Amino acid sequence: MRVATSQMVSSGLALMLRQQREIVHLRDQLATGRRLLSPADDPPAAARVLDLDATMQRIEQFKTNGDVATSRLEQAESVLAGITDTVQRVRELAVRAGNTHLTNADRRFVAAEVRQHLGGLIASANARDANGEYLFAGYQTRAVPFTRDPAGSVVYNGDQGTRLLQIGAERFIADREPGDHVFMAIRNGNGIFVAAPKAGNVGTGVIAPGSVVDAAAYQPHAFRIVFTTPDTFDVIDDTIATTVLAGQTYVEGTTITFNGIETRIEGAPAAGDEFTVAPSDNQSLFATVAALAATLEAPADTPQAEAALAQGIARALVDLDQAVENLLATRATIGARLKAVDDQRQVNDDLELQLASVRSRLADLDPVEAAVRLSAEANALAAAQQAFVRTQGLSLFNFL
Amino acid sequence: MASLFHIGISGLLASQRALATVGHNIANVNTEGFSRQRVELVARPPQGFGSVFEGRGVDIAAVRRVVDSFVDQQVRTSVTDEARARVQHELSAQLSDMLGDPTVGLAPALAAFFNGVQDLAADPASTPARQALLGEARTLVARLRDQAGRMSDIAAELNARLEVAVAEVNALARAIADLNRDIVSALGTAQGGPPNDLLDQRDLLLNRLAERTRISVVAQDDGAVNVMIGKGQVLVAGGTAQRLAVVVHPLDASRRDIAVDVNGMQSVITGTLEGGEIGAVLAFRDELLEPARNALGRIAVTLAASFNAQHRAGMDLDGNAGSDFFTVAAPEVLASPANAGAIDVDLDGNAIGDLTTATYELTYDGADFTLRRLADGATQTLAGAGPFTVDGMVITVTAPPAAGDRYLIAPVRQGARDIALAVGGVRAIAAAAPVRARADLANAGQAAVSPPEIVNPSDPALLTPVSLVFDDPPATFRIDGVGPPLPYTSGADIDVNGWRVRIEGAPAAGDRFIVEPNAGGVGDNRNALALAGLQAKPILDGATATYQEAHGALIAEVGTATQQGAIARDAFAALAEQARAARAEISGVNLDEEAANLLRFQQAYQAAAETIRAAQTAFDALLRALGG
Repeated sequence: MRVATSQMVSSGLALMLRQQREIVHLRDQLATGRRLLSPADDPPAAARVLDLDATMQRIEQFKTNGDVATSRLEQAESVLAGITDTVQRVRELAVRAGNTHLTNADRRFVAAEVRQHLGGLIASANARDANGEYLFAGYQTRAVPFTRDPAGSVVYNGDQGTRLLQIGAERFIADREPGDHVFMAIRNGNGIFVAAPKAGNVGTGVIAPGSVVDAAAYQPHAFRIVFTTPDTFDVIDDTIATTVLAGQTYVEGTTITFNGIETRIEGAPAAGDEFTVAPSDNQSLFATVAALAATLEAPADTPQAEAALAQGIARALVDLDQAVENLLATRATIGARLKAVDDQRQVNDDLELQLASVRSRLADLDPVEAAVRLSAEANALAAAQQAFVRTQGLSLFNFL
Repeated sequence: MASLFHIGISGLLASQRALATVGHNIANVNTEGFSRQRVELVARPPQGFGSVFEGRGVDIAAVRRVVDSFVDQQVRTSVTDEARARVQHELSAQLSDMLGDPTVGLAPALAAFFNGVQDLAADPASTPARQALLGEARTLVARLRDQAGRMSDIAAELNARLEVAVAEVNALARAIADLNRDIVSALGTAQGGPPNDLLDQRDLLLNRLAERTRISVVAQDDGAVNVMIGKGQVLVAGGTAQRLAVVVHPLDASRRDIAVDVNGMQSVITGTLEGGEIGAVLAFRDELLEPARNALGRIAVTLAASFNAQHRAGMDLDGNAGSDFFTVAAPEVLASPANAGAIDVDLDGNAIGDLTTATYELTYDGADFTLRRLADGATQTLAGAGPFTVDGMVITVTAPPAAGDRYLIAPVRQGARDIALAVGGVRAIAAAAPVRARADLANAGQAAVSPPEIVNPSDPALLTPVSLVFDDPPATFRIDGVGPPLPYTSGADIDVNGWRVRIEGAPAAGDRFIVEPNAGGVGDNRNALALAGLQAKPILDGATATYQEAHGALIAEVGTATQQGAIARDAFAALAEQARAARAEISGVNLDEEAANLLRFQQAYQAAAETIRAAQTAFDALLRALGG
């Protein structure tokens, strides 16, 4: 085979150029730590890396959302804990006010403290988060949720919206509770029914809150206990206009049983006095506390007024119990959400770690392998250069 | 004696010529396209003396170049392939690097934008979060427009490159035609001796031409060559060359075609040209750049249209219905100036996922429209008067067509170039839903109502407050307590006035659920969540690919083309190298060989000179003998 002189140069040169290109590529890979310098280096891997980056950014965002949710839920939890304490304190005051040794003036002091607590409760229910948004306002986070209307009762101006934050690909968590669930929609009485004296009773009968003893027999009907004489009473189901019990003998403090419930009446009812037993309504925490204050502020100078005081305190105690129960239930929900955010964070962390390792396998350079290859390529280039120079020196003309 | 003189002189002359040829070879050792030359010597016809024939020395038959026309042909073919693979790889690498850059590519901007939406969802009333989202949206729009702009730049570069290449082809064709003339006349005057260096020059020019596009070369008897390009289009015939011209596409002004100019009539031959730089530019433009531009445009159009649709279903910070968030690029329609009719092309808002990355040609044959996808040639007939709903577009005929009407429709090509931010400021971002639901506080039952979902944001009664009132028994309910009783199923969809709620649980008789305008609902993030949900929602390719997946597919496609281009570049470079080596083996100058020849012919020259001296000596001896 003939070899043209120019061919010896150009083929040697082409070889060296190719080796140099490989070396530059390796050098760039080593300098950046990236295996993929361009999508063309490994197109499926490059597309996958872009996907992984986007997914990891999303997970990062889910973690941020989780942090936001945690901080808001923790704040709501701490506000609700404070409110629970206040309600407990109000309950203690109610129990103390029930002490018959207190004078009207003593009770007014207690009532003043209850009113203080009422103001505190409203302020707490209007708590705001770090952004100045109300915690218990539903969607209307920029409007004061709890205000007093002209009549002095507290109204809720928010709505029932619950805001969800995305903390996982398929996982959403509410970052707040609408205020009416927490403070307004509290079942009054014992939570199932309310036992109350009819306004205008002339006797001193006081009815106990009662309880359901036979859930199967219970029907949500409105009943009336009507005293035909101070010693006898009828029980009438107003919902279906039926007399359930007739001509019952009244013995103070004995249990009255009908419709699967038990209650009892103490004191001395007068003929024509009536007591109602009706299914519970929603009553706000504020209304309960305000009613307690009003009860305590009324002077108890007559036996009827004393009976009203006893009745009012008994009622306030069950209503407060319902409020506490509702607060605890809300706090349990919040606690469960905090736990869920925590669990999801763990899931997100694991997933992120997993994706990062896949990404690293696809996109990151094995520096040892690359360094070894670089030195091998550099050696090959040095050899090629040497060979090139040696062969270029060979010429017959040197000997002429 | 006289013959010995003559023989000696003929030897001297032959050696001189051979030495000159060796010198010529050595001088041209590095001349591109040079073929080594060789002196062909023949013994002169002998002179007969009776029974004896006496040699009369040597004649120079010819000085020829050493070539193998088959190998030359191989070099030309391989040069065409090499140039195509090299240029195509160079162009696609440019595109691939631009699209795939991990810091300035689209993917990070897309992810950051949706993270901005998530931040808004976490804090819907927060002005900083809204500001940040607008910033991310601006970045995303800028990124799309920037990439579209760079693709347009590449397209413009390609047009310029075609201009240059065609100018070179014309110059080379002219030069080859001139050389043809010179060679024909040289052959005529030299009585058969080949004009070696002219032939080398012509071969070199043919190779240069072959780098531009694939040519076929047909040798003529008179020594000229004819050159054909494309499908047998004659470029050079003997001493005349045709002119190629770059012409603007009749419908698409941004596109260039290559035409051959015959007597002022231009006929377009773009489709027939392949190989070489021109073939590479055309193939890259039609097979990679245009589809990539359409794919990017489609991502922009789909993103803008689907984000807008969801944004319009929301309510902004001032309680107004959401407006468009992005400006969506309208489909590009290029009409032939000769058209009699007119059409209008819009995006089909209900089938935005059906958009393809194709460019279409729409023609009217007098009875029906025919829509042809340029990429794969698939056609479909659109019968009737329209509007035609096809591939995510709605084509409306706005003026009666005539047979021969022609349009080019690129539904998404300018999608990335023309996307813009339309939302009117931070307060106009619609993070909330326009209606909310609540259970009446007096409800005795345990049923709960879900937040309303907006099914039809343009329902005129959307914001009318509605109560769903349960009957006694609560197995049915009525809208606003009147009208026909509707059966209640826990958890079933209840669709009224463009919204949808679900009531779950056991309601009591008389329970009311109220759906009302979301006045003051600045803390509501339902629409922001729905907007954020678009990131993971398969929308493109008939609702099978997310924005990110469509973008990944684009990157993979361009990357694969570049990767294969690199392999082809190396393979064809090796093949071309081999062909050049094969030619060099035959035609290249080897200095050692020439050095040996130099010695050989030097010795022959010296010997021939000795012959003359011998003749001289013999002649002197004779004179001395005669003169005694």
